[in-house]
Amino acid sequence: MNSHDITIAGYLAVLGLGVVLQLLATRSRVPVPPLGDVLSRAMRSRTGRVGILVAWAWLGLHFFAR
Amino acid sequence: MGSSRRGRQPRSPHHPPWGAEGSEAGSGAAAEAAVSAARPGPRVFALLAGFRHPIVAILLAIAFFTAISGKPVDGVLMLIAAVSLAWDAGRRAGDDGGGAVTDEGPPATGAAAATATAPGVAAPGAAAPGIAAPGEPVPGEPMPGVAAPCVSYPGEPAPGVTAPGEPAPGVTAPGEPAPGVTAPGEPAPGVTAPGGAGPGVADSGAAGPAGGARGLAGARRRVWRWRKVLLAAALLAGGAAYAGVVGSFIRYSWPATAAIIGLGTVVVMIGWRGPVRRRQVPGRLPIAGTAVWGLLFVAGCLWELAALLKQPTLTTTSYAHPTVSTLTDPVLANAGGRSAMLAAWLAVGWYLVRR
Repeated sequence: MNSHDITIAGYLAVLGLGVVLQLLATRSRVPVPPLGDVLSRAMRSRTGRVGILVAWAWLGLHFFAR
Repeated sequence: MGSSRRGRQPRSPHHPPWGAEGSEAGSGAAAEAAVSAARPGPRVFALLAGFRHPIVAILLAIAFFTAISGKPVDGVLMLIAAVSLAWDAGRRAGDDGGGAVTDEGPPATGAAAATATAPGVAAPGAAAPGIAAPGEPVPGEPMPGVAAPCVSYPGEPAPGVTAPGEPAPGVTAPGEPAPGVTAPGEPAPGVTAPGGAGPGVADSGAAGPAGGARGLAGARRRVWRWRKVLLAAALLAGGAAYAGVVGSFIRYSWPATAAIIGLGTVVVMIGWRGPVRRRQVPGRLPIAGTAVWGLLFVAGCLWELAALLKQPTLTTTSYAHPTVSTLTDPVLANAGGRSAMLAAWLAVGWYLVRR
């Protein structure tokens, strides 16, 4: 396993853990909130709402814009 | 858009739009503004306090790393957003002087009006450590009269209490047909309309006044449903057209940049005004479970950052340590891939703006 594979494995691990957490939140009684609830909670304030939307806009800029 | 420069005045239910706020300024408020302008010290400190907000710090970090990785336009835009947010948070903190904390935005209209929190009412929720900025929820503080949990977790109090800005059970948004609530002129369930037939009897009162009102209410509901369907179809068509057209532009070209910046700006401005619809907001979340999400997010960011820093230079990609951008390059190299990714980006934006 080289560095390339390890780096990709790290991304996949983060992604997989996110899926597991979401499944735990929605399919079990483990006290983990679904990601949607976390986002809703974070977006209750203007700073949180705007900050998350700016982060979303940045994703578009990063991948498509100059 | 934001709160005024002056100290916040108590709002009446008929408070004018934010832009018209100056027209109702009393002489006291004007004098207060003059005094504030003459003493910039506390205001400057309040503005600087806005930079202590975690989200502002994250945006500043994004701006820095984006700029040094060869994307100065992105970096400058992120910097503008972070400074604007810090300025707004700090200004609201300064205006309120740490008094009543409100989760306020501009006056909401239509369905969004249902989410507006009453003035002078604190909103529970997450907030910046050490910053009690108005408009920021206070962590762990139940709100007088309006506590929030709409979603319960093991060990959490049961729901049944309405969140701030949330309508009480049985209350519907303007223009929405209420479940279990009869429309004006419509007879209540189980009640026979005057001149109408009883339960189980064919309704022969369509020609009567009650039947006419019932027919009118039904027609209104049908029109309302059709409007929703048409709006959804228009949004889907618009999104598909946007993804198709912008995806056809060369990556990193100025037309693509302008299209992304334009849409991003519109969405952020909409978000700045507040929620676009009445929505259910969860109450206090389990701390450990929420922290796990936070740790996962931080771990993902650090992994990406490590890959970025292990590149030969910040602007030269590395096969051994690919960033997410490097990994997605093959997909985004063709128009179809770009359009698909743009559609996904739009869907996420639509999901977020409705939160």
